[in-house]
Amino acid sequence: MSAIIQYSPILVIAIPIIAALIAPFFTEKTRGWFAFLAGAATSVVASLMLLSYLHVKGIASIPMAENVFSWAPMIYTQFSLLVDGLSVPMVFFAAFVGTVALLYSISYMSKYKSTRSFYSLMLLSIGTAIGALLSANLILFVVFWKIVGVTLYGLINLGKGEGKEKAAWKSLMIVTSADYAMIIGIIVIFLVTGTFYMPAIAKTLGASPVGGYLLGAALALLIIGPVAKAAGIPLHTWLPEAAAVAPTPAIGMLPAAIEKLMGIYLLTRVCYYLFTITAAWNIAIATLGAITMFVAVMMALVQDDLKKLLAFHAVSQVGYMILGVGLGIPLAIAGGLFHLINNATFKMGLFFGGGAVQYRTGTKDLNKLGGLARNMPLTALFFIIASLSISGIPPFNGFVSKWMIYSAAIQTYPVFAIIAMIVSALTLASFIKLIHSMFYGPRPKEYKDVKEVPKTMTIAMGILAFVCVFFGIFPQIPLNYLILPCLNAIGMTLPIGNVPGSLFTNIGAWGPTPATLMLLVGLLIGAVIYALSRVGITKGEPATTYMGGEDSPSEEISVTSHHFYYPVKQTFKTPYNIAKKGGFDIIYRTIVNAIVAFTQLFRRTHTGTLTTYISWLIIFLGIACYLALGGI
Amino acid sequence: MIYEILAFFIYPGLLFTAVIGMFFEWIARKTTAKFQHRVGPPLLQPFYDFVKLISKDIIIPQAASRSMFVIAPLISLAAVATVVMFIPIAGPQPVFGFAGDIIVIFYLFVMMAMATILAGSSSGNPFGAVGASREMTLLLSLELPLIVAVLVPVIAIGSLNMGQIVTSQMAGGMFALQYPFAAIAFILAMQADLGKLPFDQAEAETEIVDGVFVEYSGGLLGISRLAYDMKLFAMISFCVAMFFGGAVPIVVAGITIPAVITLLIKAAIILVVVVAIAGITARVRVGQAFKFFWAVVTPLALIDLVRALGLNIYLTYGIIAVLVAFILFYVFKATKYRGITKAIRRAIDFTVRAYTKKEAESKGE
Repeated sequence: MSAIIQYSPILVIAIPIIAALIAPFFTEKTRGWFAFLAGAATSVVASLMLLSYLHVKGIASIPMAENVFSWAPMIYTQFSLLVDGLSVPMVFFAAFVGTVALLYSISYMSKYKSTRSFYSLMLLSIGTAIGALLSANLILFVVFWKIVGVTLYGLINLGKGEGKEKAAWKSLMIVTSADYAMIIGIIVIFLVTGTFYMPAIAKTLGASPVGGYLLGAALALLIIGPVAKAAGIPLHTWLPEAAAVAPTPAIGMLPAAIEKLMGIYLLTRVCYYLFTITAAWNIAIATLGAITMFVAVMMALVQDDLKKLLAFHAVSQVGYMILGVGLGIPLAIAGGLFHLINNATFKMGLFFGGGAVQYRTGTKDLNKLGGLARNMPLTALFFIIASLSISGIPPFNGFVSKWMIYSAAIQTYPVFAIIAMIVSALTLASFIKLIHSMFYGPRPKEYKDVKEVPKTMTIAMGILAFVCVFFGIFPQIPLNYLILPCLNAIGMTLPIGNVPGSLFTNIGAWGPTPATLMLLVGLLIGAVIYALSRVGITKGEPATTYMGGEDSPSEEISVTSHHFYYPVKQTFKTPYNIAKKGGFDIIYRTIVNAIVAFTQLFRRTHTGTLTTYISWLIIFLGIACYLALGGI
Repeated sequence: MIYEILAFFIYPGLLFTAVIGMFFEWIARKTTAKFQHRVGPPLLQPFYDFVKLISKDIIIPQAASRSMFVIAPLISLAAVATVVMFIPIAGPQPVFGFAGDIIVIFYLFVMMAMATILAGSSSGNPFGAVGASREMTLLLSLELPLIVAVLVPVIAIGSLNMGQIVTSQMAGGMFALQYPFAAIAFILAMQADLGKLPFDQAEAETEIVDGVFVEYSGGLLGISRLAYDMKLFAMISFCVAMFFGGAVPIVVAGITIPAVITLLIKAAIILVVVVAIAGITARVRVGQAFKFFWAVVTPLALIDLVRALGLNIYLTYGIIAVLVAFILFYVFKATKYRGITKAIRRAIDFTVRAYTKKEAESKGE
């Protein structure tokens, strides 16, 4: 047991990668269960790591602590792992989320022809993501980070749909280009500090606030990478296109959960551990978060494709995290990190619910779906719980993290609080439309016999919904065990008073326990009144829908999702038209055009004639001989 | 502990709010009747309505989703029963002030609206769906000015604690006098949140037959209307607490008026204002309401937000000038006074033509 704990950082990276290599050797039916078991094993080891870390370090406020696991040093780059407060909770959550996704995909992938590469890619992405979270060496970090990007490309290509090659290519292009910006930033850091080793960089650079053009440019480049990976504006265009075609578990796990985990983890590390940012950077990053939130949710409001809508909301929630991390005060960072964890749960729940509907009905067009609540009651319940969480409705977990971000924004720059709260309302609007289009509303005839989804999918969604409710009613548990270590790793403490049942910041309070109790008692009283009103009433014949005397409404009389927010579409006609024509793709198109123009220059050397190639060879051989024989 | 339980159920909780809510509904109906030269219902009419509805059968249509159809009104009732625990009613401090601040109150009201929308959506009736869509659009439009208006006192005193806002008004005077634009914006947004004319598109009787509640009957409709009455009281109490001093005892000619009576008097006055606006306006389209709230009411509240932020004085007045220009521009454009430019152009044209005609005549002659 103690051996497992001692080697747990290595194990937690190695188990998924080895399982990824073995997975293709299983049969179709057993491969899914094997992958799930591998994921479960990873989660167990990760939770052991977390528990032992907390046991050793305690959960009181401690100064910056690190625990380096060094192994097999190579030239210049050591394979060293940094097990500190910021990485361990993230690893635990990444393993947990990956396992739930694998559970979901056992049944979901039965509709796909071959899952030989799917499970390998999923396990590989989980393993390398955990590796990236744990690495202490910037080069190692970049290696793992890039492998995750490549697995994303592979997973998108496994989807069904016409645009999948284009979507996969676009995601690879945007994420990889941002990665190159990040690498340039890392090289600048190496030139300044002389090392790639993160704790050493933190000691040199993190001691004083970042200043000077060189370091400022390095910081900016280092921020571009995570922003693209987590899909913040303006580098977000790959996510909706990828979401429309990739298989649901892949999209639910990678862009919605794990990539955001990695992205915001790197952002926090860069801004507060490696560097120490000033107020100007705070405002800039917070503004980026605010713009991301608002623009993405306005785009989501008018979508008719289920997956694209959820993808835009994923972009919008990243805005909350960037805002939280960017605001700088400990309450905000705690809120941003807590929102990161919460987002993983409810976003995955939403993607899985949408995937469940798509699995049974075969379509993701919101204008065609409807009335499925009676057919799929459990899916509807879990989906509604996740929707209420993402909209920040008490007493679910989304409300707690958003409340922390609002309180922090009111204390620093209230404008961001306004934007954050209105985006929350817009999120609620979008999900009301989604719930109405999918579960309520008239049911088309072809979906009359749609059944509930298989149990593994239901259990996966149920686990996520349970976490939403649990983290909402007892937020002290995740805040103390998962978020407090993160804050301690960057040298801050959690400014939330700990009276049992209530959370206190210095300007406000939220008591989930009394509030939930009151809500439940209120529900009970309402149920009592309802029961009283049914005393002595016999059951009459079932009633038809009231249409003012006309016949029952046909399917065409319904409020489809296309018209749900017609006034909003009309008010913002011009921006929506610009966006529809691909206005946000400016950066992507510029990069693509530059690359194409650059390669076109060299295209002329490929003439196809053998003699031209031989002449080039002879010329350069001559130059090489001249240099080798002691020329200039 | 016992005090809190009694407070939740009786005073100032469930029972008190229900009774006062029904009283407020009566005030609203009687005032509207007086506006329309009618007599209006007797005092106990809302109570009679509630008892009647409970005694009637609940008909659940075939096309509805049973569980959500039944639970949605219960959620409304639970949310409003909880929110009055966080609003100062019996005194300057709310009962559960340590368990909820302004953001919690705000989101509990959003939860009520969300329950209404889900009720309409799950009823399986197209009228209900249209009502749900309109109510959500209306909620979107009123949230922005409501947020800005609510943040004005919060920034002014730097705390989200409801009790602190009331006590600071005791010392420094009502926020409505210091920040009148925010108060006006709050009342207008409250008008829409309560579903009163000119913003009652969600229950537009003449268009979509009661909208969200078209399929509700019997006890469920009774619970919905009870929750609405309680929301009437809760929301107006919230407005009074934020901007008009809240529940504080006042000494008048040697007699101390208890806090709750002060609150009721102030709330009744605000209620009459709300009903008056409802009585003299007609319904607008939901798109017009959206533009009105985002383009006129929000800048109005932003004026006071900028004043409360306390920035550099030139920046403050600069931003205020921009906001006022924006409001005037939008009002000018929306009320179709572009007829003024047309009239000016016609006048110039007429003068020019008259002048040239005179010339032509004089030349021709």
